[in-house]
Amino acid sequence: MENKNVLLAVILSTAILIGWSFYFENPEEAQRKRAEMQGKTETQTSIQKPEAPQPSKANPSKSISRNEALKESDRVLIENKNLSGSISLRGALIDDIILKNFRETLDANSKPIVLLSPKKYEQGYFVESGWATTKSDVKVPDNNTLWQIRDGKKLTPNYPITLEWNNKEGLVFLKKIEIDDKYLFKITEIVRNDKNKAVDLFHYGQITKNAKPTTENFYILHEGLVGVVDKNLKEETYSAVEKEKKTYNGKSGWFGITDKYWMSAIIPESGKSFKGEYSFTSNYKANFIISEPNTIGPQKSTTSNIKIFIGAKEVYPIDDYAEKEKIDRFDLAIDWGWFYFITKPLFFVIDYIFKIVGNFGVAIIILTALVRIVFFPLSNYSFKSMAKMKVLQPEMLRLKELYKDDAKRTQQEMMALYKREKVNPLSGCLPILVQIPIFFAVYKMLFVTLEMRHAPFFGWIKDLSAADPTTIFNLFGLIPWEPPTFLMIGIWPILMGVTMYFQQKLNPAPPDPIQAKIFAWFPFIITIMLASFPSGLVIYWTASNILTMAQQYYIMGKTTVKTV
Amino acid sequence: MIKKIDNLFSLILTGIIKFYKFLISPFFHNACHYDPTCSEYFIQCLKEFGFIKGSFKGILRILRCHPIKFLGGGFGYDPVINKKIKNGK
Repeated sequence: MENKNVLLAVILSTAILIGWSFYFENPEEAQRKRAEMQGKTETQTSIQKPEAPQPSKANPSKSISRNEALKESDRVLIENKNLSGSISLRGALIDDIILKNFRETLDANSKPIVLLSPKKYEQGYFVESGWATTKSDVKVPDNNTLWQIRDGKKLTPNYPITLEWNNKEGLVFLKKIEIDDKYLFKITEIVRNDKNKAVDLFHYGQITKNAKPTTENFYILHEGLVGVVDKNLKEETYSAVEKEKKTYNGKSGWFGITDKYWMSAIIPESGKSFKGEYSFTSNYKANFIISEPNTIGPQKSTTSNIKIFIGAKEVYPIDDYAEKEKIDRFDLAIDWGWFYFITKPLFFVIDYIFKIVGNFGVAIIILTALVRIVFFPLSNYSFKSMAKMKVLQPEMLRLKELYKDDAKRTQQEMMALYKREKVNPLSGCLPILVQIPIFFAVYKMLFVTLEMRHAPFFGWIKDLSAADPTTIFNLFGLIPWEPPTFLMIGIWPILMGVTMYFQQKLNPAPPDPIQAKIFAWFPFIITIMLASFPSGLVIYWTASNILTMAQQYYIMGKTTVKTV
Repeated sequence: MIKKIDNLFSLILTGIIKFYKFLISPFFHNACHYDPTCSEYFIQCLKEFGFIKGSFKGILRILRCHPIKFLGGGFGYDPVINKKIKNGK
């Protein structure tokens, strides 16, 4: 009965795995849904608190290229060591950002990563900030406002620019935009009131993304809307936001839209409470609006600040911003996961090794060795008794046969045998369960961090974050044939399976026959499963297997066992 | 109602433990120090004491399952004892 259940469980989990990959490898479905959603019209009811204004809709019927969209308005150029692009004077939108140092593919001549694009473009993705009002008779700048350059020519780290707009009704709006060496923009907004009447304005920031990107759709990685409100991480997927608007009230934090490796985020001025929102109407939005208005008396002016992050989620810059710019829990922008406290230190170790050896693949192998060394005392303990146990196995089988109707008696006899032979068997459950999170942490770190992207190993592995590109089904490239994805079983996964097989051979098989059978299939199943995983992980696993075997050989060689 | 939720949680956890016991634990070559093993003990505790108390007892057992004696590491026959059922089998 028990065995039947297990077989059923195995079959079911396989079915789920296969079904899962079919379901998620079907982007057309998602595309279609999105198109449907876009057809719906947006209804926006005005309520007492002003909402961040909605940008005028991109016209989906006539699709224009990114370059054509860029030409639609005058621009101020942006350039630093990492970014290049421009700000549209129409609306003062940051809507053209290219990450100069990251390319789309491994090819050095491939296009650099385009992060932000103008709103008229299908893949439009842009950031804005501004002022909202509750009064219909106060003219505030919106998405179509044409700003004038008051100061500066090109936005670079040492040369900020200032934009100006006069509403011709007594309010003058100024935006001083600064940029650092990396990915941070700072906008200081000043409003001067030349009227004889006080005006209330609410400062806001907003990120808009016209289309859902093709996501990895992998459950260990968050892509979509992300933010922190009063120290709590708020993650929502694109599809969750399509169904329901999310609102948050807080005093500190940030909001953004993130890809696996890239992100844009807006950070409200510190010390002010705000209302943040993730929403979807015809496009995805993450925004915040400051809850208390800036009241500008007659002939007075007011100021508000916003910081904007647009760039790559590199570990050190992100941590720097969290610390120096005092952005609350900005480190959570990188999806370190539940085991943050293990994953992140592991990253620092691997990065440290990388800086010495200069190759992340080698660093992974050294890390594997380090993990082994840390756990050596415990494993040593268990291997030692395992080597002895193997010798004791005939005796154990005999005992089992002898007391086969009395499980309790068998166990007691076994324990007595262990005591006689001075094998305190095995490491125990706790040491093993402690190691599982570490394995997951290594896995997550390889999967999530940008530093692994396009990091080469030796030979055919040019990208540790991607699957091994070779496959056994065309004899590793000898036959000119491109097999389908599920047949892509490369050299490293096969190496992993082989090492795993031999490692298993060193240990006694599990007592239950069905379990033993499943166990025998393990190397094969895991090879197929890992074939599509980042090659860095497969290399980690292979190295780990080899080291385990070496360790076990060493200990077995040293242990001489006397049987009574 | 609470009883039902409790049962449901217990059932889910039992499923996870059984899955672990059969598909993951063979990796570690039956490392447990005790009889019944930690997984069996945990499942039995869930049955006897319900989700919260059962999980608590199960976790305590795992915390005792290591070779270091002065940190509470133990060894041998260690069944689930339910004090409430005095005339049990």
